[in-house]
Amino acid sequence: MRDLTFSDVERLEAAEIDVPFEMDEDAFRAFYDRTARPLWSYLSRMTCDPHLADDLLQESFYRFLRTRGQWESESHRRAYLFRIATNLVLDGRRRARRGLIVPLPDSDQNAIPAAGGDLAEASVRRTDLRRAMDRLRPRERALLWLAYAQGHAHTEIADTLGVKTGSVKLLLFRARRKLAGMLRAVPAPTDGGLS
Amino acid sequence: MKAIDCCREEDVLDALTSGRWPDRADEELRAHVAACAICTDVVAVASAVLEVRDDEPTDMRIPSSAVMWWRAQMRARQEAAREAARPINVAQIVALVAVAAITVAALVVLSPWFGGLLGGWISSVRAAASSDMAAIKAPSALLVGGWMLPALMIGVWLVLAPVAIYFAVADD
Repeated sequence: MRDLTFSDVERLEAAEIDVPFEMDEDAFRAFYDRTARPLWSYLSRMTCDPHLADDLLQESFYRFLRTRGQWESESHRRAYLFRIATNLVLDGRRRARRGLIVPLPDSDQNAIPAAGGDLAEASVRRTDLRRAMDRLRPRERALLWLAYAQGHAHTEIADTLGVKTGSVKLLLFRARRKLAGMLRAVPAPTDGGLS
Repeated sequence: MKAIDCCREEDVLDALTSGRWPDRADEELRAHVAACAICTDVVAVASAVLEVRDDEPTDMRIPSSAVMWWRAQMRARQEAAREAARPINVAQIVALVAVAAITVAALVVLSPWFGGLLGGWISSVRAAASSDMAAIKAPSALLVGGWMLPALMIGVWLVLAPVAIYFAVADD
């Protein structure tokens, strides 16, 4: 969303323009509080760019608010929001491929430079993990993130990614096997792995 | 046929997300994971994904729900204002074109000098055109010297005026 100037805000607040959102403020704020954090994480991983994730988060919620839809359940509503976000990411990638957008480099703000001992080792390991994930195709990354980071059910993942529920299991298996192969090159964690 | 899932996946994921893996997980589950290629991959991938997720500094970046709601309201109002202004803009353009057309028509009828100027310009265009343009020459002569141009302008105005009024008063 573009920044508003002070005069814009005064003019718009004074204007008697009906803004028909399907959702009222309380319902939206409760839904936002439940979903904003996981959605931002998802967008950040999908785009590999936290700044772009900020913008897409706002755009996703805005488009969600403008939608006039009936949702069967909370998970269906959440899947719809994630689907909007997924489409925005994929559209952005298509535009970037056509040269309309120059993607920002991954700022990797979480990397801890020149720390000593375990901290530096953990930081290097997380960077390796991110790089491995970033080498996956967007849909593979989305599948793994939704399944394991967000704990979404297969039906919800299918709704989000626009695939058949029956296909999710196979797609997830392939993506998992691919990432597992990449991770074998990454040093094992000291306290979270198989050993 | 090669298996693509394992019935113990949920147990493995539950142990991972609850922090019981690997030290506080059941011995039997650990033995299963050691023997099952699918669950081995689930542990490797899910623990990596969870590690990356838990490392994201989201709290610093995400605006509050109140701010998000306010921004959405402002943006929706902006868009509604823009939508409301669009027919007025169209009507203004149409009106401007109509006024310009009527002005030219009036000048042609009332000012011999302007009529001559316009006639000279059309003559030069005709001179440049090839001989098979004869069909165009006759109407252009009528336009300069006769009643055709004012009548045409009035006709255009009669068509455009209702359109302009429609855009000005129609609901969005």
